[in-house]
Amino acid sequence: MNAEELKNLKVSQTVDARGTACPGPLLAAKKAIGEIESGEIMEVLSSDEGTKHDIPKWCEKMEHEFLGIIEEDSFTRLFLKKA
Amino acid sequence: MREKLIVIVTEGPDNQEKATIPFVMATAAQSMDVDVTIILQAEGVLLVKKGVSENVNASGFMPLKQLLDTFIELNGKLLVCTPCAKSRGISENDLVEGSKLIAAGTVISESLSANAVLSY
Repeated sequence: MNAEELKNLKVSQTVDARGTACPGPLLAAKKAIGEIESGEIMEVLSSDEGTKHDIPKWCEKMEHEFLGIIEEDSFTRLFLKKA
Repeated sequence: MREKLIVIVTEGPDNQEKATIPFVMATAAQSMDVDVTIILQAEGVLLVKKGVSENVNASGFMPLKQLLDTFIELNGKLLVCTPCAKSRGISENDLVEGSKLIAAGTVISESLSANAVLSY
C-alpha cells in the first residue's frame, strides 16, 4: 500500500513504542496484537531503526498481513492486519 | 507443535553487550511464539544472580533487567550450570526466581530437542 492508502486505513490499535530500544517495539507489538480481533488493523510507531525489518519478519512468521510503512521525520509508522 | 530455541550465554556483566544480546534474541523469538530456554554457563551465571541484571545496560538495547523480566513473563526457562555457579559462590537462593540449577546432561538433552541453538 502507498502512504496515502495507509493514512486512510481504519486503525483499531496504535502501539506507541517510540523511544524503546531493540527488541522493545517487537515485544510491544506482540502484547498489543492480543487486544484486537482478526482482520483489524494495528499501527506500530517506532524510532528504532531495526523495527522496519523486524515487524515485516514478525508478520511473516505470525501470518499477519504486513501492509506498509510511512516514514515520519524521527520515527516510522508500520501497519499490519491481524491474521 | 511450537518451535523450540536454546540460547547459551557464557558472558557476564563485564561484557554488557554480549551479555544482553542473547536475551534480545530470546525475547524476539518469544514474540514469534517460540518456546525459549536460556542456558547460563561460565560468567553468564552471574546475570541471573539477584541484583546483577539491574546494572547491565548495553547501548542500543533494552536494559537487561527489563529483558529478563519479559523473558520470565513469557514463560522462558532459565537453566544454570551448577559447577559454574558453585565456583562463583552462587547458590540456588541467590538466583532470580524461575532459575534452575542443571548439569551437562540437561544441556545436551535440551539442545538435541530444540529446533536451533544460539551460543554466545
